[in-house]
Amino acid sequence: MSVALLIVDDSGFSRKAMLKSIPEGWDVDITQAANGEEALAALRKGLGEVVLLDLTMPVLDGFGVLEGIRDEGLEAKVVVVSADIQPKAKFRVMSLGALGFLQKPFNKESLAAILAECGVYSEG
Amino acid sequence: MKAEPLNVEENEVLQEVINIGMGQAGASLAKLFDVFVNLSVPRVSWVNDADFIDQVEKLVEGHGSSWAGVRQAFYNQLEGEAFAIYGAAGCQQLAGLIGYVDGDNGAEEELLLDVTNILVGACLVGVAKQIGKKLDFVAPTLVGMGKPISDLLYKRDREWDQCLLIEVNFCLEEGDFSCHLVTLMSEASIEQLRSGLIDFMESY
Repeated sequence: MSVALLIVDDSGFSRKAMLKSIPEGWDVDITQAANGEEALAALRKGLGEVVLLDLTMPVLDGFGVLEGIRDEGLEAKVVVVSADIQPKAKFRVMSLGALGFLQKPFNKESLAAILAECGVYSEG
Repeated sequence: MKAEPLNVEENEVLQEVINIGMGQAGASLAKLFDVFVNLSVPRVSWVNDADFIDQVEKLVEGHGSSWAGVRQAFYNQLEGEAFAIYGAAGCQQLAGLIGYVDGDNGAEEELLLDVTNILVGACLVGVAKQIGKKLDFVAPTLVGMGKPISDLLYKRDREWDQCLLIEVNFCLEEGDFSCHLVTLMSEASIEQLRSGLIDFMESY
């Protein structure tokens, strides 16, 4: 059965880059969101079993999305994909329930590796 | 002939590449001030060189004469000049963060140079690295403090073809500070930038 994958990033280019970097053969139904509010709306509809989440976004940022998931008791496995490389940012998202943290710029290999590490995707 | 400005798609890639550079700048500032830095999405726009001073004043709502400016030239495959512009409030916030005594102009000057070095360095080096272009810097110099913006931007090496305006805001736990980066580049550099951005785009 295919996995509901939600891609959240305010940059259209960055969403495209993530789409193109998703492991081939991973059976996913993809939804995209351009900010945190859109992401939470999609999550409430069950469109994000697995979430690739940017942090720095207008309207509602990635920290806000993680708080929303926690406060509303939504089910989601979140991997943060961010240019914010402060150790404290990683610590914050992990303590808010994210499973993993991937630094931008990423590539196919680093994305596949973090997805495997978080147990949401396995190769082959 | 003036360089063609970047198209919508190229600008979108540039915005993201700058975003990544700013993430690195934020981490460096966090280290310098020992605080957590909340990043915001940098605003990026192009303005024409001919009347760029007027346009910069408009964009930053930069009236009055309480601005400080630091200039840093860069060369190699990307070539131009960058100016960091700080409002009076921004300078005070910065000084407060590091615990400088009010009125110590020497210390404040040094701080502005350090912060500019971090911001311009992380931003432009970050961009150049991601798009595979070479870039070197000249050490930053203070152009002026307590001046109108037009005075700060007046002293340039030469006329450039295009001006890229980047607005960055860093929100620190101890107070916010914002700064504007004005980057002027040659036509050849815009073409280098464009080709690098296209390569970066196609690497996905």
